[in-house]
Amino acid sequence: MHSNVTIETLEGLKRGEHRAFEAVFLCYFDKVKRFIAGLIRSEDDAEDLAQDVFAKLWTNRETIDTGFSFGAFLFTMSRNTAFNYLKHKLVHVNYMNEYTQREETDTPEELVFAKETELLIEMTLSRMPEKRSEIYRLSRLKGLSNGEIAALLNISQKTVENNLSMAIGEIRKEINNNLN
Amino acid sequence: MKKQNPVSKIIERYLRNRYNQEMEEKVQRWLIDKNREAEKNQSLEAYWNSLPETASPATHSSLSQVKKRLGMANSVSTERISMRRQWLRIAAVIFPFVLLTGSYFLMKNLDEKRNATVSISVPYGESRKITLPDASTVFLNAGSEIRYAASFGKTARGVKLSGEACFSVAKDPAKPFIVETKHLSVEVLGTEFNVKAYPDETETTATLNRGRIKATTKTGRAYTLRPNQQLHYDSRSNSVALAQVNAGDFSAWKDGRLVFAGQPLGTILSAIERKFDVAFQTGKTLDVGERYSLKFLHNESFSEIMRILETTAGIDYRMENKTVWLTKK
Repeated sequence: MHSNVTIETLEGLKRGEHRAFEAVFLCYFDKVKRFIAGLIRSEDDAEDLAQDVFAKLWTNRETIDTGFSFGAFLFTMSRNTAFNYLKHKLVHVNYMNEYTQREETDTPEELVFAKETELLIEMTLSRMPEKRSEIYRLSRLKGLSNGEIAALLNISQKTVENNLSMAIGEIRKEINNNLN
Repeated sequence: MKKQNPVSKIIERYLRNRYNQEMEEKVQRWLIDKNREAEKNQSLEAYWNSLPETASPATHSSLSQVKKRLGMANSVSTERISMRRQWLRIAAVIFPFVLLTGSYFLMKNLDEKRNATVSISVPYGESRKITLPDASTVFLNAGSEIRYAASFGKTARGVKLSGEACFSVAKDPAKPFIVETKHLSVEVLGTEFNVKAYPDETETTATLNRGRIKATTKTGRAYTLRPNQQLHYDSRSNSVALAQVNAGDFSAWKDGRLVFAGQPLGTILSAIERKFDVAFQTGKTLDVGERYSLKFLHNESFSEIMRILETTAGIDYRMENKTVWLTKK
């Protein structure tokens, strides 16, 4: 995808023309920044990292291969930049906390993607009302009965049942849903 | 119908929604892990391709920063600036068109981003400091959640709070900062204050440290608070009371301290439950309405606090997992 940047511009960039660099910058900078911000979840740091990408692009301009997709080239640079940032940020945190248990909807695909399925369940739980996810965790992870949960949280057993079936429904939907 | 594999689902959800910090870090850790690199790359590239190639005035200021860094002269002639402005204008016209014809993913993504709500929650046993887009800071106490529109600060500054938070608000007279809770809304006139509105408690309080705030009940009664004043609203009796307090005591939790000045045992126990993520079970003999003044200033552990309660309030306690049984001595 280089609708606005032509091969001539890229060749100009390789030759070190400031004008060509400006054209490439204006076309791609926001895209690079938004891509990085989406991955690292920090606008400020994304601005710095996107600037790094373009500084590096200028420094290494002679290695640009105009025969290949420039968009794909920038994509790889942006991804690597974001990943390096994340590696440094996460280096102090212990690798992989234990995941929650899976909902029993395992199809062969869910087994192959066990780790991914667990992560999806956790993501779904983290966006549920706190009470609902708590009830789900108490039931599925701690193995408490509905009656025990009701007593522990001081709510009716019916509320526990309703919340549990809503939680399970949401999780099933999330795991099984298709993209049209 | 194309079945999405879990890898692309995780990436798509992660890019579309906000999660709490812990969850986001978990996804990030999964993302940079070498497993399933090909699938991850495919989804990331789809995201990359969905992003438009446009520039904004901010892009130009980024460009001059990078040029400065690279030692390039800023030698853009006026003619070329006006050319570029024209190009920007064209980009602005083209953009909606791209939106209309763009992929499903792009539309969905942008649409949800525009109306998106940012939600930050802190589980029991933790508290967290966050910075809002306008540089105001919020300390969120245990078991609390704050929500605001992704467009926060553009026209108005409104947040919704469930639980307890201490706000330090950046001055901006043109955009009032409003904290909305279930029963009370607090409008800030530049300042630091604490709002406590846990859904499982009938009492909502707003305490002012510095500056001036205006608190309005959902029934429409408005009160302007001066520093060290505290407003109590009881949703059961729909009654309002103003009290003179030491405001610092009520935001002490943000420094890890627990300070109670003549508060009912029930309120004290609720605060301890949230801070340490435990659940108290009280026997009938225990009077939770009795008032105590207690200060825990040195990050006391749960057992240290319980030992003090044993002696001051005459309580016996027994702990099983996270449930604590309390009886009168």
